[in-house]
Amino acid sequence: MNVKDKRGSMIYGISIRCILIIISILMLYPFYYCIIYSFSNSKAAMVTNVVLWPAGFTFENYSYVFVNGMVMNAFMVSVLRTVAGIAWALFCTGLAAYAISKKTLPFNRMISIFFVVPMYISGGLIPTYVLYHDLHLFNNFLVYILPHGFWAFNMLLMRSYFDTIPPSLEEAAKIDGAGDFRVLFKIIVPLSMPIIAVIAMYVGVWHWNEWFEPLLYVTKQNLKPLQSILQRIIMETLGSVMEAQSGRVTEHAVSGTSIQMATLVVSTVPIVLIYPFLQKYFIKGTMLGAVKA
Amino acid sequence: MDKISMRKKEVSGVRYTFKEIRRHRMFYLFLLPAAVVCIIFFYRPMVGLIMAFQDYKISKGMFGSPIVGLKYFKEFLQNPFFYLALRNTLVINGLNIAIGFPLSIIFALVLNSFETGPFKKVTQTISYLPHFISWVVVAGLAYKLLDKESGAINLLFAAVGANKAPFMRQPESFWPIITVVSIWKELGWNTIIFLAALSSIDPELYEAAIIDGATTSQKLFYITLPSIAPVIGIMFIFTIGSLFSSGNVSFDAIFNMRNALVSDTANTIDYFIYQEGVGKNRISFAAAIGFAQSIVSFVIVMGANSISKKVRGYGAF
Repeated sequence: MNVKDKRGSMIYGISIRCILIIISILMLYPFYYCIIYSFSNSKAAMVTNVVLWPAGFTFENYSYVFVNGMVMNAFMVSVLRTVAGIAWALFCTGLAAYAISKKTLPFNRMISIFFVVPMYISGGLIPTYVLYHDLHLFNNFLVYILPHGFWAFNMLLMRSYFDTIPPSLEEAAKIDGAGDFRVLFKIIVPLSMPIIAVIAMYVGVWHWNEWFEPLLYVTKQNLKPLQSILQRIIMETLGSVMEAQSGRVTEHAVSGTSIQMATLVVSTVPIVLIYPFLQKYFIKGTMLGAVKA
Repeated sequence: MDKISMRKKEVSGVRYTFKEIRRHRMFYLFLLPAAVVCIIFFYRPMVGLIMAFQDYKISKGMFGSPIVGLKYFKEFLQNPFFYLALRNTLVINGLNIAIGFPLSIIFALVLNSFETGPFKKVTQTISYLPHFISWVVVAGLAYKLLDKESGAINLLFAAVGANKAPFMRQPESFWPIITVVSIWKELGWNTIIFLAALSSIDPELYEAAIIDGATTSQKLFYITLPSIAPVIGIMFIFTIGSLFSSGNVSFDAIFNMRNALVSDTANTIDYFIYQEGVGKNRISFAAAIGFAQSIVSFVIVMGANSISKKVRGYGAF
């Protein structure tokens, strides 16, 4: 390689690095902005523009959010929904994946097709809406949980993991007189903790972020999860900001944005905190799925 | 083989199957919860699509509501708001495919050109992060950042001498905004499948090319791109399949980013279905649109798949 080539590739490397750094900053800035705004004094934020650091540093927005009974109740609903949702999904999907992974199971292929079809065809919003009405799931906490027991894609991920467990382990346990239940809970489950963690994460993040079902099916305030409350706060602030810009500045409108940002942070922190630990599992799971598909 | 022995074999086959079923009865029990969920919550709504051909009343149910044939299909095809929603859906998804799809391939190529190290790892970690944030939060951030008076974007515009604009409240800015924000959210995540394909290319191909004196662009066009072409093709088929629905720019995105002031450019077919079916309680009308939408998506995927099979010799199915 001659000198000119070397210099060329060095310039290329540096410029690509710069582009990647700029992309990273663009990806992160909205989060940073949200955090500094949530620590800003609401009145100071009206006077000076919040761009790089908080205006009039304060914790008062957070104390408002944590004292607010509605937000705390919603936080608990979200936590309950996520925990129950993960448990129900692992129970249904995990058991099915284990059964399907048995090659000797009669009608295995037909059963697999039965489970995979809903990945491609669905009844859509309206028939589902009518069904939930008929099943009396409106204003019922179970509407968040029951319909989300089975995840076809996650079942395929789990099945391909079970396939990697050597069958000799099971056979040895069977010879020692263990039943199918014992084999599952004493051998398969302990060996499958990595994939169980991945599926729990997939399902958990989905449940934590879900906001449409409470909007459609739940009108009781004490059953609303955090995302719904957040949505309402955003819409309300939006309305009052529009009012403020039309000249009618109210105290409520002024304080709204900082509190809204604090609520945003509170609802996102759980995900951001677990994210770095789980990132590699997420990617592995998705790649596995890509290879399978 | 004569007939009698063939029958004997069949009988013993059936017997064997019964024996196997008995032996696996525990496993059928394991399948039961998932099967019940699947039948009630996935298959039952598919049957429920019959309501698209009925004058469905919730109080009367599926068997009590009269059948009206294609009445609601004709009705929505004559509704001007349906065509507005159709246009918005095609434009928003089209923009997202035209810009977002190639960008995610380019971003994957750039990331792949780096040797594994902390720099690459940090960039990847950061770029995947927005995928895990709910659209409620993303929309909240977008509204604040694009605010006319104090939003960072408008402050930047003012600093370079451009006019401030109330972006979230003008119908003409909704398409660019939803495109940029959707790409921002999913760009990093969409690279994962391409990165997986790139990492499976045999490094010996590159070594041989270097010995033959190939330039960087020659390596790109003669090794890298042809190697990942099947994956690009399959992903493209899936992306095109959701052109009429909400696969690329999700319903979550539209619902949270839109407001009454921008409804002319923001209401998509999915939103129209929600608005008519849930908001106005026009159940059969909305179900008819949903039914037509699924059929069209299915036809497009199958069409794209068979074209890809004919032209290039591989497809997704």
